[in-house]
Amino acid sequence: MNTRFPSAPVRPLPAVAGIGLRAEHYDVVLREQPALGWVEVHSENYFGSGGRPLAVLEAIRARHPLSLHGVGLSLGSTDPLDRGHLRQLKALCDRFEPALVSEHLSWGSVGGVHANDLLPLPCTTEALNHVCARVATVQDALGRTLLVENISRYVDFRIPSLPEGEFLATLARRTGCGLLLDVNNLYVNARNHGVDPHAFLAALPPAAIAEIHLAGHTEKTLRGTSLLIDTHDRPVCPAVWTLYAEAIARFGPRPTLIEWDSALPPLDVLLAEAARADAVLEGRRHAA
Amino acid sequence: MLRELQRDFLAAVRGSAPPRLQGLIAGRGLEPAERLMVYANNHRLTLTAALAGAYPVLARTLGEGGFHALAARYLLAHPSRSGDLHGYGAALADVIAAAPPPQAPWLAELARLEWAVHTAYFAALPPALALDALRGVAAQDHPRLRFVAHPALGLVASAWPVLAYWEAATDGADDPLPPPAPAAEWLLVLRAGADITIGRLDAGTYTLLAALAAGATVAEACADALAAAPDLDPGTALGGLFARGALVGFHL
Repeated sequence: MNTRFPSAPVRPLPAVAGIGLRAEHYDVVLREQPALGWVEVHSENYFGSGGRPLAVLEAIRARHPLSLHGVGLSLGSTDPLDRGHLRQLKALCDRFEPALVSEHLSWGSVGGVHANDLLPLPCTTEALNHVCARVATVQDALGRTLLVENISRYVDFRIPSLPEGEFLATLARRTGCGLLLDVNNLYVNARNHGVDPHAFLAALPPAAIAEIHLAGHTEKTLRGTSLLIDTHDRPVCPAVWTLYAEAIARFGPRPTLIEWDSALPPLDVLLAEAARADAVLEGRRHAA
Repeated sequence: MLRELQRDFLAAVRGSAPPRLQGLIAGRGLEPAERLMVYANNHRLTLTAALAGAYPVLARTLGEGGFHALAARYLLAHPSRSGDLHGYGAALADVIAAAPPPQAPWLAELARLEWAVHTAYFAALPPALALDALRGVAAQDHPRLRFVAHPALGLVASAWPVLAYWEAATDGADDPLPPPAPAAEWLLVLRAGADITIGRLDAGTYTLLAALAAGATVAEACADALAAAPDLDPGTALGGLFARGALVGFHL
């Protein structure tokens, strides 16, 4: 296969840790060229037609495998699929040859007005059929497998629903899409809504899980009730590391991302978190 | 069912949670409205941060409270229309101008300049104008020529001299001096590599460039420019625009 990136050609991502790259770390990564297993960026940050972000991504991609992680396609929205957004994503895939492309099991717009947030879907049959059709359309348009990620949520709908793990498993089975398991999101939902994280993991088809996300969250207390908010602004908490080890024991080593999006620390802090995930992955390889 | 739920949920995200949606949400120790408020806050903070990213000098000038209040007005009047926030905020200057702060009537002009800088930052960089090919165009065809503006080109005709303030604030000055009095300033924003460049133009050259950028022929643009500035030498002005890289293509 022809590639514009001979020193980091397209291939399945290695089952090692990668980091989410944000603009605050562009300079240090370009200057110090740290060893990175792979890099993930938010697709929409590179939708411009030029400018520094695209120039930086060229330089990064020349050295590292890349994952494109979308936050704005609004897979679960009942609005028509945004074809312009999809075209821009396709153009980005053609240019940067990412190893993985992912989106969220969420929605973000109604009547063309966007929340620019990952809003929760009820896990109903109606929503499942809708998302299956949308994922199939996106995969056809991109000509590749899409990964779909479980999100954190702060509401629980009183609507007859499937368990979320079963919803995702059916989505993967019907569309052939991959799954991006966000262990922090699973933990947040377990704490916020009493989701059983072990049952959730048990419901997922191991072969579909192509990537794992790890991130930090913030605990707020409102009138004595604790609510975890998925803030991506601090280290991964001990309980999430434990749940991650359980997931890796169950599914085997998987490419694992350290996601940090606000109050970014020095790059070394991200690299230390990545090294910790690598140790878990390495341990699993030896156990196998 | 899903459509209706999403419509109600978006209303909650934008600040008013419909009662029937609240009835569909389990409280688990909190009011449904309190849970929905998490989304409303997240939405407001995300869009406010996007605006502050596009308008850093304005955000600094207004301070956190003032900028958040402006952003709240903007969110109400101009909801986000895309999953990509880089284009969000284009009309902020108009929203400021509709109710200009009496102590700083020049803020709308500052916002226009910042938006031009923001859009220039993400524009493509095409090859420079092919001057040799342009020299090959016969003199009698010059009036019919049309030019293609640089994709990063921003034109700001300001009623206040805001560039000095913007430059001082961008260079990190603690307390840049605000523009002392109204005075027209014609600005051209471009990008070379990663660097934004901003130049001052005279009224005639500005009018010439604005007309050319809008697709006028050289003859039409010169007529506009001479109406605005009878002393303008259009040939010299055009040469200056070539030298700045404001025009990148031409066709007959």
